Amino acid sequence: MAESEKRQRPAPTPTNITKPFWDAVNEHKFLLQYDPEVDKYQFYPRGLSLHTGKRNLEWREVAGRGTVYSYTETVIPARGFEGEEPYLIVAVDLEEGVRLMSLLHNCAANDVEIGMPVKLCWDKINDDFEYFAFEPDR
Amino acid sequence: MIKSLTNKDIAIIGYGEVKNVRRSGRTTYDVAAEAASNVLEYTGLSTKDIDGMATVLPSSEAGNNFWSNYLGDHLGLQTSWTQTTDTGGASMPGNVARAAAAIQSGYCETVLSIAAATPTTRRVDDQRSYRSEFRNPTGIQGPPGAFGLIMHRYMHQFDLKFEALGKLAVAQRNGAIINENAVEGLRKPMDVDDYLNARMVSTPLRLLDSVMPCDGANAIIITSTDRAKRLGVKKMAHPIAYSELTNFNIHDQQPDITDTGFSIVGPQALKKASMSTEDIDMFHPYDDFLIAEMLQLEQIGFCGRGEGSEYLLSTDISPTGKLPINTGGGQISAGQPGLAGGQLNIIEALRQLFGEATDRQVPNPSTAMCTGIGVIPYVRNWGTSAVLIMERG
Repeated sequence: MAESEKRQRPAPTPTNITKPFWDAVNEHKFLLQYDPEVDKYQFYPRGLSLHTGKRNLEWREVAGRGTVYSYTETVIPARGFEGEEPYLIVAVDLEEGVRLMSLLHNCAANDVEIGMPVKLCWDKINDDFEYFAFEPDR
Repeated sequence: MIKSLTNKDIAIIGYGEVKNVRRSGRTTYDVAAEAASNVLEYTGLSTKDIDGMATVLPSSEAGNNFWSNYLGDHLGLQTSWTQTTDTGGASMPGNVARAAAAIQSGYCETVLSIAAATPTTRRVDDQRSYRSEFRNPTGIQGPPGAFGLIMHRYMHQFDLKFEALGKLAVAQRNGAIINENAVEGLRKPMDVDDYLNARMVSTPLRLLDSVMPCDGANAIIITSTDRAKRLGVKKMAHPIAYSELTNFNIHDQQPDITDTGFSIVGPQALKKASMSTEDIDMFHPYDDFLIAEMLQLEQIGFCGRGEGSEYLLSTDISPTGKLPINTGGGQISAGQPGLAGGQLNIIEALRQLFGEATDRQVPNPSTAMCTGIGVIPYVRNWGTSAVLIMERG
């Protein structure tokens, strides 16, 4: 496949719910929705509190540190990732009590293990979008 | 007290199935018509005898927000109760319970429960929310990637023996070889080494852990046992217990992804039926991936948590064994006709209960358990878990 025909990595399509989140990601900040009534965070962003059903959510910036909950090495690439394989995907438990997933960078497949500390890092998808990823927190 | 199924007042009186084919070039309506025609011929009924229809929303027609109307129109059905269920692979066992409730409530008397999908010819589904923003841009390889995460976590908490998954793959392949409706390309022998040496998709998940997508359709007819007797039906199966759960553990933001709704609906369905796992003559689980079947065996209670490998290795799961599993090949070896794949296991269970499974017949089965699984949520295990127990009439 010619470089000009290479499929692009899918970019997120921000919604009225997620626009503050993606705006922050583009500035290399990571926001989580926080429910002050029960003192709990949630991810992915929703239109109400997962814990109470109320719409009293606040955005809070977090450090983005956590541990690997599970991982998989992608051998057959997803759409838009052709030529990148093999690459690692991790599920990460953040210190704030939520779980998310993304790419793991700067780590060999043999070195990733469950429980390993990781921290957020950033990928440039295109001129308009950054995306969050992880790397070992050594 | 709500009406239950245990008094056997609901009967499934026939089944129809279309051969699974990759890239058939056919429309969803055409494969549906073939399945409907087959089950009408099986039961001796005509379209005018049907007054209810239940179906699943397939990816090949998901852009149509009048799907039930269009499908019923194409099939020539005038219905007083119509249902499209969109809980993915849990939709069709779910439709047995929904149809039963509709019949018991008097909305209709005879339901065509039909599943048709041609995703290898046409796909028009468009899932937003977490999928477009938080899944697709990460590069995770869809369901195989999600199950790769589940399998590595399972290996962290329990003992996973890949030769046990290989044994399950081989047992189902043996069924597909003698199942004329299986995808032709899969009807060739394999052994455990073929499984172990299969190409990795998303570690530790291999190509032979997975289903092969295809086009296909299937249908059953559900009515009251009274009407079945008036029609002079000789063979019937009664759905006697059903439980489903969607969004298991949704309030837990860091759940154990090796646990699923089957921990609840498995024991619950058995209790409704006043049965234990020992009373189940054959198991026809929803099989998008081999590990999903092992998790179901554990959580429904055929064995303990983490004992799935040992259970599979020590149990004869062939048609003549202690617990026959997916005797027609399941979706993994017969092919997955999109979301119509969620009724393939019910069709095979009926074929067995009616004594029509020819070379793969289970000796004189009187009970069957079928299951359904729907959707892969964001970094969780599957979204809907469903258990249906049937008894020969």
